[in-house]
Amino acid sequence: MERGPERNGVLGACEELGIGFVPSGPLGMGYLPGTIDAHAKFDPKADLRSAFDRFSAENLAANKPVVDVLKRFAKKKNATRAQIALAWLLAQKPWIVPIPGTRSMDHLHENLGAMDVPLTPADLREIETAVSGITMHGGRMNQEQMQAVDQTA
Amino acid sequence: MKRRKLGTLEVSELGSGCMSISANYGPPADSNQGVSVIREAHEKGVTFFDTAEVYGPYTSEELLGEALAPFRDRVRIASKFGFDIEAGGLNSRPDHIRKVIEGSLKRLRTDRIDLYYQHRVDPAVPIECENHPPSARGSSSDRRSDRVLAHGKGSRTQRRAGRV
Repeated sequence: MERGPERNGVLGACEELGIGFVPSGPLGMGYLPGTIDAHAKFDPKADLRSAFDRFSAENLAANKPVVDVLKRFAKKKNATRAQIALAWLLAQKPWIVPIPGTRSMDHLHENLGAMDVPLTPADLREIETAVSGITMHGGRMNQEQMQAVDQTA
Repeated sequence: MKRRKLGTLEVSELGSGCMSISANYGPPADSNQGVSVIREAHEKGVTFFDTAEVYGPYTSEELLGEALAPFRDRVRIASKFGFDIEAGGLNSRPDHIRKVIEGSLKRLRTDRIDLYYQHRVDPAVPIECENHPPSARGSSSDRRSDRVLAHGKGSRTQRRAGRV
């Protein structure tokens, strides 16, 4: 969901300097697997996502097209949406190491299954075409929090 | 599981993010469940585990320390500094980093952190200074004593940090 590092020079600097890149929240902080919709409730006391712009009811609804793209490719590759998202990240650069997190044994096994989902160059082009027309709504945290995040290279 | 290189650090191609098990995405999971999931990840070949002092705060590092203790030498741990948890706000002053790493090492039940990230850039501390604390020059900075085996940045500072 977050394409900034591809455009703001961060990945370019990593490549040039031989630095690895560890994308946090590689499943869109739980959004990309498709089980969180506009009706989801986040406990403001215990769940940081309650204050993140991308997790407002409005933006959860508005960002659904990206989940739909994952669903389409999941069907095609006989995989899950989470697996497509992780396989896509793994396919971007050999020095990218995604760190999906979960407390569920089932989700752990599902995430690890992403390594058995080979995306061909044609698949990657097709995914790029499908997502390039989609506008993401809402920052990954709120504006005040994002001010402390350094996004330049 | 296949491996990848993060700079010089070799890790499994998928890592395990441990924040959400005990912090920030709802109430913490039962700790036995958390330990089981982390150990199962290792059983399946994951050798890279990510946490931070601020997750919880502290509870994520504690859980990871407990879960990885039996096989610490076979995994790589990433943790993060950069917040002032007691006073609030950011703090990457060299003396603060030297203080908080002791707590992280204790909670992680280890004598080293394989990858120690700056969680947020502290605008009050130039990156060159944070990397090589002036007060530590000529003595034993955390880098030189090998307790921190690799250094990570949120982003901007890679070029500047890479030069020092």
